[in-house]
Amino acid sequence: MAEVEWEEALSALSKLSSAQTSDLCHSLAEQICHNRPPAPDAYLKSLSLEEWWALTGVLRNFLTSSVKHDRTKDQMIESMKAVPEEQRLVIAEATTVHREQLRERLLEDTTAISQCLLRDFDWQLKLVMSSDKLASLNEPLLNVDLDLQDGAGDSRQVTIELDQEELKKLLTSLEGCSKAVQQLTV
Amino acid sequence: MEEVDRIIIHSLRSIGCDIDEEVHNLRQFNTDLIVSAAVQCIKFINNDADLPNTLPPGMSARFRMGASLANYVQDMGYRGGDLGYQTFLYSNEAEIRKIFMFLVEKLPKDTSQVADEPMGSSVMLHRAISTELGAQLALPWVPTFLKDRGLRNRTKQPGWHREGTSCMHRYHACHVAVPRDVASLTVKLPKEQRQYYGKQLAFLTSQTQCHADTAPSVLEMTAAEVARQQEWETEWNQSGLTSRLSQKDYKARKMSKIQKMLTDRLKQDAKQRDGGSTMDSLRDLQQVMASISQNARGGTKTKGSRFAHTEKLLYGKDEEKTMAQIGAAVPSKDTEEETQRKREEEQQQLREELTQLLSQIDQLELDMRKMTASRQQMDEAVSSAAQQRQDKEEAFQVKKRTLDLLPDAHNNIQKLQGVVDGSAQRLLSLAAQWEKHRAPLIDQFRTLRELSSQRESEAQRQLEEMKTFRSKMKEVADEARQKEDLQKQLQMEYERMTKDVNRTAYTRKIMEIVANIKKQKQEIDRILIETKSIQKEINSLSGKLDRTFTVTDEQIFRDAKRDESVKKAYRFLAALHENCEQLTKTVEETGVILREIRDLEDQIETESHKKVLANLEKITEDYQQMKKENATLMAKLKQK
Repeated sequence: MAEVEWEEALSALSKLSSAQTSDLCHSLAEQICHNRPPAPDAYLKSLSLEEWWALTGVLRNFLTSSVKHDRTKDQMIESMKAVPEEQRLVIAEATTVHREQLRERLLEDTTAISQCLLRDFDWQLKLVMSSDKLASLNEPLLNVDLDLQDGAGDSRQVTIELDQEELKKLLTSLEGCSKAVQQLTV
Repeated sequence: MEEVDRIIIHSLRSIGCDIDEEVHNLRQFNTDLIVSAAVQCIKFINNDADLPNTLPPGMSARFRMGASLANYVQDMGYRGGDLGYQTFLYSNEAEIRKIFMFLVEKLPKDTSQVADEPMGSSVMLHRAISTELGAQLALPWVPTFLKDRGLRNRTKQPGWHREGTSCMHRYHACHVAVPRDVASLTVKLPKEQRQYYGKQLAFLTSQTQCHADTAPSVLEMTAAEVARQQEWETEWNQSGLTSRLSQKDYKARKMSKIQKMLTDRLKQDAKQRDGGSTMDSLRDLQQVMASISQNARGGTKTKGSRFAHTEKLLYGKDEEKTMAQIGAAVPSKDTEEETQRKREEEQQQLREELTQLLSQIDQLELDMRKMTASRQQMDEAVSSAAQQRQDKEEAFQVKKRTLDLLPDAHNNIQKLQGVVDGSAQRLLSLAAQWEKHRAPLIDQFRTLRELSSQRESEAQRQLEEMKTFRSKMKEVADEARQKEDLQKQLQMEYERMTKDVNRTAYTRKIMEIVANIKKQKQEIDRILIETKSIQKEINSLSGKLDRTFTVTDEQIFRDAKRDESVKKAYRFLAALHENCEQLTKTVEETGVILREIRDLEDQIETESHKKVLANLEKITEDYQQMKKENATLMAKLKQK
């Protein structure tokens, strides 16, 4: 069990009020869950950049590890004896609030072990009324944007245009995939 | 007639006849127009009619076409008098009107029927697209900097649309967090959760990195929620209801099932991998054993674990080497070659030692494997021997007891008999007791089973009912939705229709006409009644006259026998009567003649409408032309 080293963050923590700590914990949890980075401006008034880095690192570590080990609130408070009393409580509360989401996120990250991962997709349907050869064509075309993420965490976008036949083909292959996955899990 | 003409012309135009804007009544129709309109109508009614659209130039061809047109119209069931080529070629207004009225009535009503039925959505879409595009095309071009984020407002066909791509951004959704379980009173929210929602949770609009993502994110979130609900509903309907568990239980069961499946799979995988790794572990074990045995054996050589031993071996060699090097460097002044040679020798020696050791290790491992195998064998042998021993001991016990009983055999046999009897008795009593207890229990069991099966069937029935109700509910909802769609579509259609067809005008006119007709009918009735009363008066007066005449006639006739002057008077009376009768007759005759005159005048009117003279001229002209054509044909024939 990797314990969180509070020593590096203690000096930084002592400079923050408990309300600030709570805010910081929540925004860090949100960052972990939804990739929404916290704004450091408010904290950098009282902290140096190194302290900020150390503090956020330690807190993030604490959040993930306590969710990972599924600690109760008391256990969490127990595990950070070095931290001042007030802030101990605040940090533990923030962790319990975000427990479910953090857990989901960790699971997601764990299951995302394939080489390439579909993060998001978008589509637009376009109706081609006519072309340079035909006066009335009436062919629907589908633009599909796929946001892919490879193993290293880099994302790239693939855009494809499909007519009806190709779309059918794509859908059948995707259905085959889904069936395979279903057989694997349920 | 004006109205009828307008309707006819409107419907002719609607089926695609090319009629000028200035033509307002049928009198303005010329022969070409009449023929082409009639052909259009006939083609519209009867798709496979084989007729040219315009009048051919040749006279005979014209004649033939007129005749075939007449034929078609008569085939359709026209019964309005005799019809022939002349009706079309040498038209008169009234007949043409009649024919067109007939044709327009015969026109297929499918255009209106289509309007009744819901139109295909693709047609609607196309229409919508074309109107939208038309509206956009009608607008003048405007430079981009005059448009606020590409927005264009329209006054005609009120609305707006976007132009250009300046304000486009991709539909990108990101996760947004919203408070959950806040509205429901049953769920108790933890204090810190509430505090988080109240203080820290950012507003929805500031949760996304880019403001344009807000709407997509919210849409996406709700869509995901809806999809989840639907999925759950279908699953619950399909398999959840039949399982007869509460929703919570069902979910718990499913979760445990999945978890079990996962663990099973993981175990399987692990086993598969174990197949490869058992050998490794075995080898590890063997190594450990070997090291232990080595320790035990070669206590003089090393002490400690095998690791330490090898370490020592390595370092020891290093030390030796360094020592050798030092020794070589300090005491003697050997040449380079010699040292090299020495080193090689040393290396050789070490290598040999290593191979020796390795072979020794292999040997030991082999030995150990053999030993373990033999140990296992021995173990098995030991356990089997122990088993045998136990069996034999048991047999010995039994035999020993019987042998003990043998000396006093008779007594013992009796004793045994007694014991056997006693136990039989006891068995019987126990069986009776059991029977006593069993009967009520079985009864109870049966009733309970019946009850449970009843309940089961009841539950099954209710389940079926529930299912049917659910499906019915869905059906009804679908139907309602469909109806709503239809209603919306029809509403749209209706709105569209009122704009371009002057339907209300028609209906108003029809109503006016009906009112007029009613008024006229009343007038006619009134006049009829008047005529009748006059007739009655006339009749009664004439009767009175007759009666008075006969009475006077009689009296005067009686007196006339006696008096000469009276005779004269009688003659006068007769003359008077005759004259008067003649007078009335003349009046009646005048009336009849007057009526005839009016009829004739009407006839003249109609005849004059028929453009007889013009038509006659045309006919003679056509006749001349035909003659000419015939002559040329004859000439051609002769030439050949």
